[in-house]
Amino acid sequence: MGFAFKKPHLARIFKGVCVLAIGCAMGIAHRMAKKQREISVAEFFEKNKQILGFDSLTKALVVSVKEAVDNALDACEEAGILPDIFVEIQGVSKDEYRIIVEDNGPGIIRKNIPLVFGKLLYGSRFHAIRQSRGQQGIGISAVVLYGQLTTGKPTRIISKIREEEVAYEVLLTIDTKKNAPRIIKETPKLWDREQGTRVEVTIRARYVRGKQSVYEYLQQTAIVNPHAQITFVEPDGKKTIFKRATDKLPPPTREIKPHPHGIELGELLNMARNTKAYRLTSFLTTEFSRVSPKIAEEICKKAYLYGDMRPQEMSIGEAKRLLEAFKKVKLMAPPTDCLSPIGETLIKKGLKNVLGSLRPSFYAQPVTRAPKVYSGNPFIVEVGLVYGGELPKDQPVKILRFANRVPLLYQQGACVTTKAISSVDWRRYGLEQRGGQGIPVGPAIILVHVASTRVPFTSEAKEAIADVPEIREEIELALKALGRQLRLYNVKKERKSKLSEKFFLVTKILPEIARKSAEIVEKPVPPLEPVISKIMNVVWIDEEITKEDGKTKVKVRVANYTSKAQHFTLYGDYPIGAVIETDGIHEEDYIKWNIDIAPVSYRHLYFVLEDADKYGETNYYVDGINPNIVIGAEPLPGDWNIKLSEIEEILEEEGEEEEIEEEELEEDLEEVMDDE
Amino acid sequence: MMSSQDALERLYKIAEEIYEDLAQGEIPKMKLAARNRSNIVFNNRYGVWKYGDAKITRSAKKLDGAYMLLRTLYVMEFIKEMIRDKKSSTLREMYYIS
Repeated sequence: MGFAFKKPHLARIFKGVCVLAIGCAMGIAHRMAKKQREISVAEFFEKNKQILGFDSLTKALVVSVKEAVDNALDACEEAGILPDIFVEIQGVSKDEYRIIVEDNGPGIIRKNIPLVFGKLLYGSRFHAIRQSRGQQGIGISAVVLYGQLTTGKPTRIISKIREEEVAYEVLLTIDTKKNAPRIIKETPKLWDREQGTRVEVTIRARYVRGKQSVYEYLQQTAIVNPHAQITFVEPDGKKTIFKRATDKLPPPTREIKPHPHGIELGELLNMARNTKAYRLTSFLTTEFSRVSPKIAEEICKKAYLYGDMRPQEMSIGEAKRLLEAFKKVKLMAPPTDCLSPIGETLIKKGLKNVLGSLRPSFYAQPVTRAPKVYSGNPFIVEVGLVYGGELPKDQPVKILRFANRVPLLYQQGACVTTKAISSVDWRRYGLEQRGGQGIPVGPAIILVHVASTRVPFTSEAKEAIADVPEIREEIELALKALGRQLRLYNVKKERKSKLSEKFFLVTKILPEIARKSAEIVEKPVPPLEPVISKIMNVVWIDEEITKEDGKTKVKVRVANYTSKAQHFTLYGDYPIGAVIETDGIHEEDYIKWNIDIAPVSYRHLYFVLEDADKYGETNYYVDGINPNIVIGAEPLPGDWNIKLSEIEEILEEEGEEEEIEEEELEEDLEEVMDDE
Repeated sequence: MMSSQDALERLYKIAEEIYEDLAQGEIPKMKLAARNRSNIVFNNRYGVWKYGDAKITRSAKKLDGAYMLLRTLYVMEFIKEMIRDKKSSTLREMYYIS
């Protein structure tokens, strides 16, 4: 009985203990489980704004404008439209600003407007391997999120596509829990544009000028996007227009397939699982770039895999062997038409267009390196340099950093470009640098552009490029090429100043010596030409500028101080303005003189410019003469002809004005005819 | 002592050399006693220090040399006038007068 009594009792106790024990154990886990849930990306970035670059009030403004402008430029370029971008910042209250960015791009279809602006990680470029500014689809939606977080105000978007009569106006916020757009209002709207998109976001921010400002960001954007016109209205109403320097869009970038050298294991497995190919060899040839059937066979052989196997059934071990095999075969570098470098001429044009007011005395011929590869990603490095003029001599050189045509304003020190600049010994090229390391000091601006299908940024905020050895080496090589140009320029300048002393010697002192000695010996003054040519032995070219009534007259003096007659062509590549008069041949964007000059004689040439208030120095080039005996002009650059073809296209834009002038002329003619 | 005629002739010769150089298309130059410490010797006959035999060439190829040649020619003309007027002067006085 007792036993019987005890048993259920014991059982009950046992059961109870068990429940208690289990209850305790499960209690923690369950309680923890209750707290465990999915974090939406939107929530994540809501809490971690700094990852996206919103760490300070001033920076938030720049980042917001940058994201909107990047999107606008990408959209226009993809659609083959010359970007016309309008940026306005309005002060709402002390710490609140409204950012307005409008483009003339293709517009966004109604259905997608909320997704593009109201959902993080929604975009068109994440899966495409090619050069573009945006990539992850975080940027603009993060701005919307930041705006609603700091001001509580929704974002207004107006977008119109060409095919539709009306634009759509959408007011939205982001539902951070769901990472989905919450539409507040959506209305059709009449808009006087043919197409385009306008975004208005209100954010908590601070407006500044100068370094790391919206202005600086837009200015630098204009340098590397000479095909874009950017209008900027500041909170105080000040309007700046960064004019278009070329009418030619950068060639459209092509999407490429991944290169075997840049692929990771997980990616490879994913691709193999989702491919439509039935055989491993065809998977390799169709899904990768630069893999021919022959190379595919070779890869399979080296990986000890059957070329006939189904890629969908590939195991992790097999995938690893495949990766190893990728490294063992020789592969061509990835195609580079997925990249869009700015080009040497346009870098120069862009720099001139924006920095012209600083009157730099030397624009180095920019260097665009041949495409290279880092872990399977093609990239191109471009660098440019301006020197002298009104740039400060006692400060570190200014570094303009760009990645895929986007200016990088923050974290200069962490960037591979800065590291490359610091490791070049600039002392030998004529800039000051303590110990041959670090950022050099001198009146110079260095531009570095890295274009790649995947720029290795150090963070999501895309502020600095990671220190990849291949990229760093390319930048260093390009910088050294610029350095050599700079040294040559300085050597020539020194030579010119030394020769200007001699110039005084042969024009003033020597004739006096001749006169005096002839007087003493009582003989006629001898001809001095042979002596002059012996002392100088150069062809001297210099200019003298006079300004009147807004016109700039440039007198060019050519002196042949050699003992031979010289025949050559002189090119004057004037910096700004329009030629209204010259004794040379006025070509589209430069002046040409055919010169025939006797030994020890002078020629005076001239041209008159209009609208050239900020006239700096004309670049003179010579052709058909040994450039070593010429002072004051450079040999004609090898790309002069290429430059001409581009200049012709650039001038189409200015051609509009010329057409108007022609029309006016015709009208004038008609008037004359009528009079008659 | 050198006669004034001698002096005139020798001055004329210096000017003539410069003139001839120019006329023949050469860069004019003149040779003169080297002005450095090792080129000073004591002349027992006169009991004074004089320049030795080392010569240097000044040419008009550089600005300094050309200035020097021109200055020499001006000094020469001044001496010529002095001899003609039978006057004498010190080097210092010459700079004051001219």
